[in-house]
Amino acid sequence: MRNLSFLLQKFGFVLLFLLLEGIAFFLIIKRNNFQKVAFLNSTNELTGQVYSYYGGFKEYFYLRKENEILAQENVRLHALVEQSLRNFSAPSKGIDSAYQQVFTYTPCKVINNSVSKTQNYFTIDAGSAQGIHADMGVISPSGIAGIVKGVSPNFAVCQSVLNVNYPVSVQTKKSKDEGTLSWDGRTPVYSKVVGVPNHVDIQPGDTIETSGNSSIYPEGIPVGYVLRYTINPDDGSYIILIRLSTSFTSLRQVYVIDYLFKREQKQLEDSLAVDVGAISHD
Amino acid sequence: MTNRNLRIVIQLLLLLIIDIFLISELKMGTYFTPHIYLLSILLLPVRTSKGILLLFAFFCGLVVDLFMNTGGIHAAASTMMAFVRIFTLRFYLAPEDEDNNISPGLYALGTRKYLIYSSILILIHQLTFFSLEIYKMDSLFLILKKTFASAVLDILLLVFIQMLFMKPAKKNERRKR
Repeated sequence: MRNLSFLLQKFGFVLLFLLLEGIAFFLIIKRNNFQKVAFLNSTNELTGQVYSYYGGFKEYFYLRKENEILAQENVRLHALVEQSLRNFSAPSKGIDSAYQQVFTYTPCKVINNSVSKTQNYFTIDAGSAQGIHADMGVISPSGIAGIVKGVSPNFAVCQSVLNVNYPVSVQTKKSKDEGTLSWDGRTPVYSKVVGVPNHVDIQPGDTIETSGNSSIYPEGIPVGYVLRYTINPDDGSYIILIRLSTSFTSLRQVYVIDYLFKREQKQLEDSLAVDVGAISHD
Repeated sequence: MTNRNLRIVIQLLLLLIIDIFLISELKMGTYFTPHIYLLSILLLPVRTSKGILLLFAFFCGLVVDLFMNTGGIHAAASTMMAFVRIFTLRFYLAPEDEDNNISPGLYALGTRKYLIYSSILILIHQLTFFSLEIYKMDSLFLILKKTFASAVLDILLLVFIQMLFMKPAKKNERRKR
């Protein structure tokens, strides 16, 4: 017995070390199951509050740049406003309005953002109290940004497009050929598009946009611009290097997108047990 | 003694604030992610008990994890670093250091010994951090590149912080090297 207590005294710290590492590993594994871990991320109201004070202070340094981005966005939106509306005119049924709203946008501020990890997240200053819930898309004025992963009453944590575990369905703007955006975890400026068949004509400078069949983003949100491409020797499809249109290192103003028909579409698809959205978002 | 503990806590808070709100905002690219809160773990007094050392490191890491959405990666890495500190620090101490209960910093240890000591621990921390963050064996080279880049920057940063903000010990206490 004395030997045991002696051992514990001498090597108790090894046990403590193993215990602490065990807790840490538990938290790391939990993190990958993001929605379930409510207590250890910045959806947490406490860190959310701290970041929102800090974000309010930081905003002043970016007002000019922010204005420019918003002005550019206005120009773009004036030209594109019909893209978020779908024509629902069905003469036989006599619906009054020719157009029905499909996507709604909630403006939010990014209060915490990371770009240097392989799985990046950002926190926005709106949560379930503002009608935000998980799996809603997030875009910036200049393009795609991410997807909401966890919400608290006043904050939401979003998975950035800069996340190796988050593929997005995209297409080329010219020919509407589909591919998958997948980030390799190297730099926050570039990303890759894979899976576009190699008969498609692609030129450097071409625009890549969201494909609109993921029920998360509307069609035609800019994703990036083609820099160069190689052919994947395994299946002959393109591996396209793109420059992301959103500047993730200075992400401030974003919009959370709600697809109003998501539940209806999902119910229908589930009831038929078809896998229409080829790319599942977790 | 409580005075000294208070100083350690204030120093930790300052380092954490600068780390979370300034250093990580600099966005120096994916390769450079220095963490200056490691300085508090490096500088804990020599006679701190092993249990306190491990718990201190774990909670430092946990606070950083809370703010950076990293799950428990920082907690795991800094606990690992504190664990390695238990075994490495003794090689760099002179017999009287233990009696004086020094904080093993740039001035107390001497430049050469401090650089070796801090490099080992920071490399361990960054290696653990990136291995857990990337967790793919086929990116071994990427892990090593990131570890090396961040660690070098981190080692330099910590030396600068100590040169700028920490006074060398008084002359009569300073050991000749």
